[in-house]
Amino acid sequence: MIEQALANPWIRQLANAALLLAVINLGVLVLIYMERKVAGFIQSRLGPVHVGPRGWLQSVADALKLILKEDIIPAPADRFLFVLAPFFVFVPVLAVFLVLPFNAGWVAHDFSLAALYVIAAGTVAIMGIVMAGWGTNNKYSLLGGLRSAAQLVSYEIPVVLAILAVVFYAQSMSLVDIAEAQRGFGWFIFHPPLLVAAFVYMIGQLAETNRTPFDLPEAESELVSGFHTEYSGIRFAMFFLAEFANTFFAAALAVVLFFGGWDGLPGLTGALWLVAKSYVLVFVLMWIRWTLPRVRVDQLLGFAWKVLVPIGLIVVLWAAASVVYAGGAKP
Amino acid sequence: MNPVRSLLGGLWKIFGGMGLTLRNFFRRKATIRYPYERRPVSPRYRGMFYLKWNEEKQRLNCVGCTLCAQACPTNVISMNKVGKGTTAGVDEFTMDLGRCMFCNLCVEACPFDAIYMGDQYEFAVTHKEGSVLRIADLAQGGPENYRRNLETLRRLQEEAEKSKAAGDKPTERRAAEEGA
Repeated sequence: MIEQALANPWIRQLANAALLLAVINLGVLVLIYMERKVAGFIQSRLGPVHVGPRGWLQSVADALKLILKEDIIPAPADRFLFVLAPFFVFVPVLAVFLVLPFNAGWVAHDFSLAALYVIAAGTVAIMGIVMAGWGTNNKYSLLGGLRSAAQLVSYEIPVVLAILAVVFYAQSMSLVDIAEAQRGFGWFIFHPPLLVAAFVYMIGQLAETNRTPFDLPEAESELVSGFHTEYSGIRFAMFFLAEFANTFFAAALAVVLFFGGWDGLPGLTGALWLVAKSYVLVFVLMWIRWTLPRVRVDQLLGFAWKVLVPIGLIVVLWAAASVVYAGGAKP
Repeated sequence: MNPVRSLLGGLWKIFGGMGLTLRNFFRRKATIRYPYERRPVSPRYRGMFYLKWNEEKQRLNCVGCTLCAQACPTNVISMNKVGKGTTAGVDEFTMDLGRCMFCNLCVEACPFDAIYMGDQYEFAVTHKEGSVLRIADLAQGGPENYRRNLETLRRLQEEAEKSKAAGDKPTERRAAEEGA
């Protein structure tokens, strides 16, 4: 019965999406707990300790609180955009997870342009953020939305260039093929051009996921949380969910692109290796967040256009040259 | 300045900062989980008042001389003296902590080592009347010692009455004891 239903490609994809949604939601609860613990530890505090053993259930309590809160839509807000914006931010994040390979064969949908699709689908979230900024009818939110438009569009380019360098090495845009190409510790991070590309990618993703030092769209201290100032309850939870899911996806994609995907020591299943490596990278992102202060807008955009984009272009040329003249990853 | 050099220099600074936060990550945390853990207070801390209990004489040291009440700048203290001379004591001693500024003048004024400030610092009450403390709250050892103090004072007074009825003048008795 279930197998018959799963034979239908539509139902199969829906089941995959539902499974991914559950995994993302649970993963985000863990990430929020982790973020607060890391923040606490770095600041010589303990972080959450009260709800459950060592505060393990804190995120669950927070999620329940957000779900139970009153749903407020400000009177002067543009209702249509206000209600639609959280979905526009969250759905692209869910969509990009569809092509992420967790293990050999463990991918919701693999196709030959997955790397391009990830970039394209991820960009839709910018629309949601601008919609939220405009729709709430709040000047700080609007500033946050505009900042995020400028920032996300600028940092998309170095990220694309870094991914392009990887695509040269793997000779494929399918994330499964990219991960397969790195089997047996032939991780792309060990190739000098791609090491630089990994740096460019991580810095770009830091900005794409709105994390400090590039959290200008949110900027609690100057824009009172920017585009999601007026959101509360479940709608705010969706932004929050999207942000953390995005962070995890940025790390998981970095693992697939540079750190060998599900490649690891034998004995454990590959998915565990991928998730473990992703969490290490997420830790690095959090570590950066709680170390560095926020940059100014002009520094932010100047850094993207004057530093990251030129480095990205050089890396692309370098990767192309080493693939053509030195055989790249092929032995 | 050479842009490549400044970029690498900036990266180096960032790594330095991240090293610092990573060290902090593994260091012992500064948090004291207050209701469960407490920071030790200084021995000279001026916390909650208590009336000293004298275990040997089974009574509070206070004789009701009101020197502390007179020393108090904000009229916190009022008391009721019972007995006189060697049998003097208090059966009521009230402090309105709503007015108290914890200046320690009453403690310094006391010639009988009767009133002290302890290390308790949790005074929060849910209504204004709660900040008025009676003798049972203030007696060292709590209401139990307040009760025993009353018993001792009553016994001392009864003895004084008896010896008075027997024509025994306290001054003569003391002279006799000293002579003996």
